[in-house]
Amino acid sequence: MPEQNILNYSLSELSDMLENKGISAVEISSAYLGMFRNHGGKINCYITVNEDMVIADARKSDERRSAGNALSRYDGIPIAVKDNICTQGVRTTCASRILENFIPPYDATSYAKLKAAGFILFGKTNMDEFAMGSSTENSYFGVVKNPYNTGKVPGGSSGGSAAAVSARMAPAALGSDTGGSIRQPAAFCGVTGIKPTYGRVSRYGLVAFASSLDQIGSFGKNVADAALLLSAVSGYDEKDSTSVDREIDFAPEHITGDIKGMKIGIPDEYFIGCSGEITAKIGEKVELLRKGGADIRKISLKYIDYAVPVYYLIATAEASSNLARYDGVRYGYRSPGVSGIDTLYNRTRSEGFGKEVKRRIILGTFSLSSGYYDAYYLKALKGRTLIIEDFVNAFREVDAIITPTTTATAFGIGEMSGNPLQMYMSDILTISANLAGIPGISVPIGLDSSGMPMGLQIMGNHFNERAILNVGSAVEKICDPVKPEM
Amino acid sequence: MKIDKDVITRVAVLARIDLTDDEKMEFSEQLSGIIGYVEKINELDTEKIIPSDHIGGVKNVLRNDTVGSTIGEGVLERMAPEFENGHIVVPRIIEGS
Amino acid sequence: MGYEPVIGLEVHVQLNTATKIFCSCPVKFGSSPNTQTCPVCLGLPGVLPVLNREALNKAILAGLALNCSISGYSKFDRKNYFYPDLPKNYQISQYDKPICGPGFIEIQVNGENRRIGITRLHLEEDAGKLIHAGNVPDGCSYVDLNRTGTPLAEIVSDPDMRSGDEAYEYLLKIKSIMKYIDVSDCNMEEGSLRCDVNISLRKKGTEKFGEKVEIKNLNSFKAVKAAISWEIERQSEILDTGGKIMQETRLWDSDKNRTNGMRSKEHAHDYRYFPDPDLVPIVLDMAYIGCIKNGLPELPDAKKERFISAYVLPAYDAGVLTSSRELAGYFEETVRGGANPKKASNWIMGEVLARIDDAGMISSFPVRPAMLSELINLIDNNTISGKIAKAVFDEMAVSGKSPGVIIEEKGLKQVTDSGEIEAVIDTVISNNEKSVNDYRNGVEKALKFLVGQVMKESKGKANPQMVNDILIRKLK
Repeated sequence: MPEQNILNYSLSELSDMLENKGISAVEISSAYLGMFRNHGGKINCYITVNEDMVIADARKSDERRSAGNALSRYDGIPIAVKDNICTQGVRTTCASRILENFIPPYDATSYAKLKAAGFILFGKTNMDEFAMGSSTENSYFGVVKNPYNTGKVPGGSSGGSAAAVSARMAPAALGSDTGGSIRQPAAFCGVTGIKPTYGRVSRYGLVAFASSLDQIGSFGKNVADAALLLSAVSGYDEKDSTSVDREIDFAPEHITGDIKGMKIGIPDEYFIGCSGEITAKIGEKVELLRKGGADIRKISLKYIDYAVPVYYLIATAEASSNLARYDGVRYGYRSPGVSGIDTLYNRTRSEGFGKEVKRRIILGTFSLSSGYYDAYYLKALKGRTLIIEDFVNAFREVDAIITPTTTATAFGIGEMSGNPLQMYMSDILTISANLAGIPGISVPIGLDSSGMPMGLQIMGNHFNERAILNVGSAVEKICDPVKPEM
Repeated sequence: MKIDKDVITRVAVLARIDLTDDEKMEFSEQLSGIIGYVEKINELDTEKIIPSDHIGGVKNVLRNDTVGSTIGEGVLERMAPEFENGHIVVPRIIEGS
Repeated sequence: MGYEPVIGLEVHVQLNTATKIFCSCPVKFGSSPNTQTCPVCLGLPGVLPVLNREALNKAILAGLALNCSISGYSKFDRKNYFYPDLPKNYQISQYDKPICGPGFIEIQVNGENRRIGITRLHLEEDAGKLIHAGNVPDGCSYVDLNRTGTPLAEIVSDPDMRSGDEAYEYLLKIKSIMKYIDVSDCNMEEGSLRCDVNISLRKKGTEKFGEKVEIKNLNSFKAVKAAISWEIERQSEILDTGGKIMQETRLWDSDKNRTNGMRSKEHAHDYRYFPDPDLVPIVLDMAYIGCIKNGLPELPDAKKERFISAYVLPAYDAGVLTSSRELAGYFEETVRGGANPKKASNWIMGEVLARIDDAGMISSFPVRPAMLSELINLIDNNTISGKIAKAVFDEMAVSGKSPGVIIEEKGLKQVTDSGEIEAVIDTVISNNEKSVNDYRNGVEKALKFLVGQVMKESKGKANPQMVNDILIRKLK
């Protein structure tokens, strides 16, 4: 079988072929390892790929299946996992020097579920350090390149996962999304990325950035793949107090793309400052959806201008506390040769963290500190309430909301590195879904005039992943597939 | 508000991060810009608004008081930068300082 | 001196659950270092806390026992500070929505009742331990995280105490209550009860509080009392000489019996509390609280009142007997065995408590209540004399044998057969002619001597009353 074909198969196609013995798990993994060897260095989307382990695991999977003991029909399919999701025995760095050699003695629940279904860990993907960034330029392990144009960023923070799926270096990938960290890189790299409802996927073993906003989600070459991988990691987990026990009703067989009579809201506010090409493209697709039977309505989400301020106050405050544990005492990097605990803390953290992480820790520490708490942190929590109410009202009227995922396509590497505020603003369209805890998906809708992918975002009500996946599937059907030239 | 160098210095002590003078200047400028922008939230009337300190509406998640497994032998020793006689080693702590 | 001390206590009580507050590690004292740990209490990346139901229930029970209101809504917050015994470098605690609100307890000091207010009771996680002594190399400290995550109830009192004695009684009462309801061992040596003192002085008759000093490192109830006395003196001296009290934390030095100021640090106390996003709120309804309330046993004060009225005991006896739930149970069981309550009380407060260090350890005392009531009954029905009973009790406390068995084995049964006694008396009369004559000549003392001789001859077994009566009859 030609390798190129393997790389283009969807997860269900791979699964079917494995079940029919038309292909082996070793063949699948070998094909992806071949791509990794040829292009992995250029794109830099992985921090850790253990080729021997991947092949050994694939071989074990093949043995299971021929003995009739396949763990699921997906047994043997390799998956890329963002390097902030703990994998027992495989180092988990968060792209930080401070965890450069950290090997977790436990699995994240999401990864444990994949393992139990026979999915193979292909590699740990590069990311912005501790998921703090929108470009995957903030990695101790180097910048990740956009597969469509290596002079451009892949987006972030799950840039490695997005680029790996886009560049056919993994059939699908797990990422995490705190303010758009799945959807924005999905849009920049021309793949589908979904962030589920807060509580849908266990956060146990996901290295925390901002606990009230973090969610694990998935990347796929298409909507069905993203849905399949997400359903595989979803579900209640008694190890995560914020996890929710809800039916998982969005496996690929439920995703038909049928949107007849579905009420879809279009908020004008989300198109302000958006590139003309993206606005036009989305307008075109929305018109097609209307013709396909969707009930398209104008809606208003008036608090969008406050999303970035609210988000950056809350996210950095939580991060400043979440990242306090990296102190060189029990694990991870310790600055050598220091005497005195204060010096040990200060040097370890100054040497172990990159600049963006320090900047956010300082900002978060400031907004929680005595005298500023009420004006910044507490005010932001109240702002969050208003943003949540905005969405509650919107979802009284509509089943899903369509917006652009980003206001522009991928920017150049280094273009924004001197201006953190401008970088923060690039999350403006994705942040609200995290603040409200609602699901959001980005679906590729074609390339702009410079050949870079554009993304369309669909947001839905709490635990209504099924609705946004259905709209996503409908959008997918009216778009030409995109794929980078490698 | 302007986040001057003194504020940066004070906050860096709380956050246990050493910053060089240059970094302090840089952060002072950048964070002043960011704080200046986020102060936009002051436009919001939040007088009667309840802060969202927890989202999702989940409550009363409790675990049974049943003993589970503890960390495997040698695991902590392999992870810790310095380990001796079953203990993690840190520079001498002077109690009460 | 014209100052009035204003004292409030912060008491940390380790809850005696099987597992830690946010993970399933066992809570055990004295295990090998760092073995009672897991990724959650070690604060490894990505782990999450889940609240132990039993810790919550015990905190509620403790709150109810301290007459606290139980919060319908409470939440957990993070207290941020760096210290090597705190793996996450924040402690999960409760800030503005504690599980229990205001309450009170009653104490008695110098025969006077005092009500001490409880400000709040909240749940939090304990920290680990740092070790500096022993075989720790120079320039190093060891970290043991076994204790990390042990559930703590922090009980904060109102500033209602005015002396070291009151603080001492308050602590005794807290300990007694916590043990009554079986939420904590309250062992200060093992650290399952810890106490910090807040103290300030104000001019007598004034309302305004003075500058507050916090005293830490108190390792016993006596140290609490001593530290308060020391601090009252220290602060009085400063005020008398026109000085100002500095708000600070001082450490008790139990070797030198004094407090010392800590090297204070700028910005040291900005804990940046904020709601812990990893834990969800606790919302309790009346049904849930009522269910726990049903498990509340009779508390020391109520029991004492009942002992006074039901058993007609003096207040002092009732206070001693109800100081521990186990001791009170021992007493009641003894009475249920048929013993006279006052006599049971005398035996317990005298012979029993003289032989055990801690009233809470009564369950392992060899003399069981049924045996004690048997012994008291044997005295009452003249089977043995009170004097022999003491000897029998000595034997019981060692061997754990019942008094009947011991009396049987050693032939200690009191002689009440008048023929047998008369025979002994006849011998004594014939051997002590002088005393017999003395008595008959009106020397009353001689009778006592003769009774003594009869008792001696019968090895103490003759019934003293019968000896007396028969002697008088025969000497007429």
